[in-house]
Amino acid sequence: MAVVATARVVAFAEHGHDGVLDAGLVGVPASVLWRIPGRIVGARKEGTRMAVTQGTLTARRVIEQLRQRGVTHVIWLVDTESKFMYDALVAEKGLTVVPICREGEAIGIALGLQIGGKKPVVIVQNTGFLESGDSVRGMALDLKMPLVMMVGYRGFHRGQPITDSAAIYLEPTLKAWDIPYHLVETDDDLGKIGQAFEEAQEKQHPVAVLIGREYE
Amino acid sequence: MSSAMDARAALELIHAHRGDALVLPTMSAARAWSAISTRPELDLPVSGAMGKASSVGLGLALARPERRVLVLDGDGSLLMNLGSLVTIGGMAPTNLIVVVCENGVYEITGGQPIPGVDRLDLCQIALGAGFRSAEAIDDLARLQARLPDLLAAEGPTFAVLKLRPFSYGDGGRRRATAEAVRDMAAALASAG
Repeated sequence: MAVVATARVVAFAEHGHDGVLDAGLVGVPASVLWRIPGRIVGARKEGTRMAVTQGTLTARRVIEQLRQRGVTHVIWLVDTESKFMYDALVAEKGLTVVPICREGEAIGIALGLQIGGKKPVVIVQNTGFLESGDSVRGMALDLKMPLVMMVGYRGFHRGQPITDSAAIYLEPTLKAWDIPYHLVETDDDLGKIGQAFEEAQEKQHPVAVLIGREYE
Repeated sequence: MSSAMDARAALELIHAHRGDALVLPTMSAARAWSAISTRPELDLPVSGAMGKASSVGLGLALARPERRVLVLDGDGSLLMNLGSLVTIGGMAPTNLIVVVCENGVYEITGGQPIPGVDRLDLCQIALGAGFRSAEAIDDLARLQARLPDLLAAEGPTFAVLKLRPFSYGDGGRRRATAEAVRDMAAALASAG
């Protein structure tokens, strides 16, 4: 992975950013940021590509991470960031895939599975994650569910300005809800999936894994 | 509702036939059920995200296929999560029963009518979504006669109970969902 953003991150700090850069904003010059008081929330469109991520995310290796963590059920509404795993997941004998119609269902189904002693993971896109807000609030957060949610990060392309509101508001929303998250773009990041499961269990709290690239 | 049952009496009949079924009541039914049930460790009042009782029930039914799981939903609640019927139909858990306490109104906010109240046929929707059976019941004697089969049938099973609104006096102290989650998880874990 080659990220060419250092100078521009420094520029953020000089402009009053707290120095912790949202993943989607790495490499974006301060001059194009959208701001709300005290906070950077996105960037205006600017065509220059400033960073390059190489490597791929392999379905088999993601599934292996889920198996290692004892996952029994995958509650899923397929999206452009997770579709590369579909065939492999459906074929995986040790996992039950639960296809859903709308993302808010996922949290309720996960709750029932957890009460019954199973270990689900939720896979949805950021659009659907935002749609499922009341279930995330009223169940995952209020009931302290140790739940890992893999969220397709539509609109995120490392080093490019974010113009898709589904991406612009994702990380601020996760922060507002105090949901920890990890960005996974390639196989180099797979350890973060295991880390998310450990964190969810330790804190008895939902944790998000953001799938940051689209794969065929 | 011109022909409808007394709500509390209907729930009392269900309780009499529940056996060791896991029961997930929501909204007004949850308050009434708390005053009726003598097995709170097997009850999970679903609150916090309106409309999601059927989804929680699906998860529980998939996790515990050896147990009967009975959801006591509301018509207004189910309309908030209607797609869950299709999800349930797709997974086809044989141990899941969804019972809708239908009174045609948002009772908890004062009785405003739900959308499509005079045209809605939830049984048709459930059958179209893949439930194995669906029936509407508006008579207590009929409910009593049908309950053994409804609770024993290979599901997913769907039933609409035509009810008059609950009375304020029907309700007991509804247990907090967090407390019920903890108790039911412990009860199921100890049951193996």
